[in-house]
Amino acid sequence: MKHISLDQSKCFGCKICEIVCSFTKEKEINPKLARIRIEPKIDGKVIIHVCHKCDTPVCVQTCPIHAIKIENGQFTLTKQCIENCSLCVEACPHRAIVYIPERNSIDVCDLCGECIRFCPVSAIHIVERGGTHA
Amino acid sequence: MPEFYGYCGKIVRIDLETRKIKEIQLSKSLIKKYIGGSGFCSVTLYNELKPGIDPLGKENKLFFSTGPFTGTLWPQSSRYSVAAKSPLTDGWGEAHSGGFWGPELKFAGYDGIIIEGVSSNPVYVFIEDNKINVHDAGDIWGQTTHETEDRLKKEWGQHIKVASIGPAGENKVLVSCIINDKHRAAARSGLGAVMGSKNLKAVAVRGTQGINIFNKDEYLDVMSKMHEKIGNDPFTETKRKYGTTYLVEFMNEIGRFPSYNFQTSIFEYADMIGGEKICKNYLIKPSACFGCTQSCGRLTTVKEGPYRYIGVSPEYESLSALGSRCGNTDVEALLYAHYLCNLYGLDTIGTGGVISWAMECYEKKLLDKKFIGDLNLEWGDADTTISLIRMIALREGFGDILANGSYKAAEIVGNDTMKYVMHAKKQEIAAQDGRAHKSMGLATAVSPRGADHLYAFPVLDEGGFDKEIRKIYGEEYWPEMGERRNPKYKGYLVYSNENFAVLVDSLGTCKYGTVIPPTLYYKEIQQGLEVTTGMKFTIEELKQIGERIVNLNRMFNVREGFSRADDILPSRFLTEPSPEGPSKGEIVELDYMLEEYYQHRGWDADGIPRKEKLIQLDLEFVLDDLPLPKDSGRRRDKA
Repeated sequence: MKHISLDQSKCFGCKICEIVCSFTKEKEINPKLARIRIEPKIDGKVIIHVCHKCDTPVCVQTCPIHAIKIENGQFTLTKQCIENCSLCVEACPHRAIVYIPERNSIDVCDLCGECIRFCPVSAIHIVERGGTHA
Repeated sequence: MPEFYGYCGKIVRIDLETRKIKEIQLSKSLIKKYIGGSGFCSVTLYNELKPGIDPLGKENKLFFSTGPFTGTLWPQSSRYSVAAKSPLTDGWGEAHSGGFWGPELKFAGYDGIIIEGVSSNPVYVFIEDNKINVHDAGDIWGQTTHETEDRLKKEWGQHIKVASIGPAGENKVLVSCIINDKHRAAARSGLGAVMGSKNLKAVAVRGTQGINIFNKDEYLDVMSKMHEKIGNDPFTETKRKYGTTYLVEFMNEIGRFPSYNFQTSIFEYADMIGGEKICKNYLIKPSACFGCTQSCGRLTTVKEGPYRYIGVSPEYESLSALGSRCGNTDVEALLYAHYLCNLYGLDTIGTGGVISWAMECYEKKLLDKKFIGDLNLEWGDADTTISLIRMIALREGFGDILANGSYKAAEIVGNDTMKYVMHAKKQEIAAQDGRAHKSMGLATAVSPRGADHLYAFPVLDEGGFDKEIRKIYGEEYWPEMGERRNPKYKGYLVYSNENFAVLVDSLGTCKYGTVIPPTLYYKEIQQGLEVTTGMKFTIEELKQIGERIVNLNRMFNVREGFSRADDILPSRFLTEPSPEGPSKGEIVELDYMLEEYYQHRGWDADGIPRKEKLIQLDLEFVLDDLPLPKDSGRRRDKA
C-alpha cells in the first residue's frame, strides 16, 4: 500500500508541508489541522506523523461506532463522529489522524501530493510500504 | 465572512501592574499605512511613549508584533518584530527574530502583544487560543532560556512556543536579548533588559486557529511561483549548505571581517573558525525557521571536551563577534561561547563587541586593576571570553561594568578608553567594516536603533550586483553604485534599501531572499499581499510605507534629542585607514555620504526631517515634536 514517507536526512524542519496541507484541505493556514506533521528533534532526527495505510488499521478497530472504513488505501468516514470522542486519534500509532473540531470530524492524508510539490528539499515521497529512501 | 485575511485582526494589551488585559481591533487604515510588524510597533510606540522616559521604568512598553506574512506560505514567513525605547541607546529600539514563536502567536489569535507596566513579582504570560493568563514565575526566575523553555513545556505541553529572557535580561544587562525557540534571538537594542525590568520572564504561546487567506483559488499557484524564485536564487544552495558561516571566508577575503576590535578586518586564522571547518566537523544538519526554504540555521554539536553542547548555529555575526573580534581561534570554544550567550540571553554582537573593546583597552594598558582584578584579557584567550559571558550575564565583578555595553562601560572606566568603543548611538557595530563597504558604513551611522547592518542591509554594492543595480536604479548609477569602496551614490542606495528593509520587517518575512539580492521585491510583495490579505497596494504606496516608518523612527530619536551629531561613527572608521588587504587605505567618507542621504530623505543638514516631507508622508501628528529652528542641533531638555 502506498503512503507518504520522509527522507530524514533531507528534512530540515521548515513545516512548509504542514502549511500547504492545511491550506489544501481546510482552505486556511493551520498546521494543527495538517494531515502531515513533522517534529524536528535537536539531534537532527525528524518524527513524521502521517497515515501509513496500515494493513490492520488500529483506527478501524478502535472506533466505537465502526465509522472508519479503509478500502484500497482510501480512508472514509461513514458516520458522524461521536462528539469529542477522539479514541482513534489517540490510538493511532503514527499520530496521523487529525480531529477537525469545526466539523466534529476526522481525516488523514489522502496522498494528494501538494506537500511533495512544495517541499523545498524534495524530502517527501510516496512509497510502497516497506520501501525506504535510497 | 472574516473581516481580515492574513491578519488575526487583533492585538492584545497586557498591563503587568494592574493585570488588565484588553484586546484592540486592527483597523484597515492602520494596515494601509503601516502593514504590520515593525510598522505597527513604530506608530504605536511613537504615540504612546513620552520622550525622556526611563527605558527600564514602568512607562516603557514592549511591543511584539507579527505581520501579514507571518505564519503563512510566503517563503520565510517566521518573523516577528519587538520594540521599545532602548536602554542601550536611549533611543528607538527594535529587534526581530524567526523560529516558530511568531507564527504560533497568530495561531493563538493575535497579531501582536503590547506589554505595559511593571509586575510586582516575576511572572510569565501564557496565551492559548485567546485565553491569556499571567502566571507567577518565581521558581523559574534565574534560570537559563533553555531551562525556562523546558520547564514551561513540561507544565503546558511540548507544543507550546516560548520567548524568554535569561539571567542577562533579568539583571538588566544592556546587551541582553529575547530568545525564542531556544536558539533564535531578537538580539539588538537591549530589549531583554526591558523585559527583565518588567519582571516578565517569558511569553509562551499555543494556538489552534487558522489564518484566513483571501484568494483561495490562486493562493497556492502564486506562492508556488514565489517558492520557485527563491529556489532558483543563486544564494539558496550556499545558504542551505553553510548558512551564513560561509561569509567568514568571503568577508575575510575582501578585507571586511572585523578582527581585534576592528583594528584590522583580515583575520589570519579565519579558516580555523570559518564555514568549511564548522560544516565539516560540527554540523549535524541545517535547521529551518517556520516556512523557510533556505534553512540558514545550523544544528551543530561539539561532542566532547570542556565545550560540549548541542544546539543551533552560530551564524556569521557571532563567529566574528566572539571569534575574530576577540582574536579567538579555538572554534570549539567559539561555538560554545555562542551557545552560552543563547542560554544567558545575550546579544552575541553586543557581548563580543564589549569583550573585544575590553581586550583592546587591556592591550593598551588602559584598564585599572581595580576594575579588572586578575582577569587576563589577552587577545584570543577563549576561557576569559567564556568566563566574561557568565560574568556579564550575572553582573559579577568586571562583568557588571561590561554589562552596560562598551559605551557606558568606557564612561565608567574612563582613561581614554572611549576612543576604542566601536559603536554608533552607543550600540556595538556588527561584523561589517564600513571602510571596506562604504554603504554599510553609512547604514551603520544612520540606523535609528544604533549601529546596525539590517535596518538598511545594503548589499548590492558588496556583491557588485550589476544587473540588479541597473534594473532598480538605472544605467546611470552603474558602475559607481556597485563599487563597495566608492562612496558615490551610497546615500541613495541606503535611502532606498532602508525603505524596503523596514517594509520587509513589517510583513513578517526574512531579509534573505528579499534583500539579498531582491529576488522577491516590491512587485512580488504587492502580489503576495493581494492574494493573502485582499488589500491592494500600489508599488508607490509600498515604498511610501517604508519611507513613513523610517521617518517615524527618525522622529522618535529626534524627539529624544538626537540629530546629525548622533549619525556618527568611531574615529577608527573615519580617520584610521584600513591597514591591510584589498581595502587597505580606506576610511569611511561619512560626511559626503550623509549629505546625499539627507537629500534623498528630505531632511535638513542637521538630519531633521523637513515639515513638508512629514506632511507628504501623512505624519502630521509628529510635527509638534520637530525642534524649533534655533534649537536645531541641540539636545532638548529631557522631560
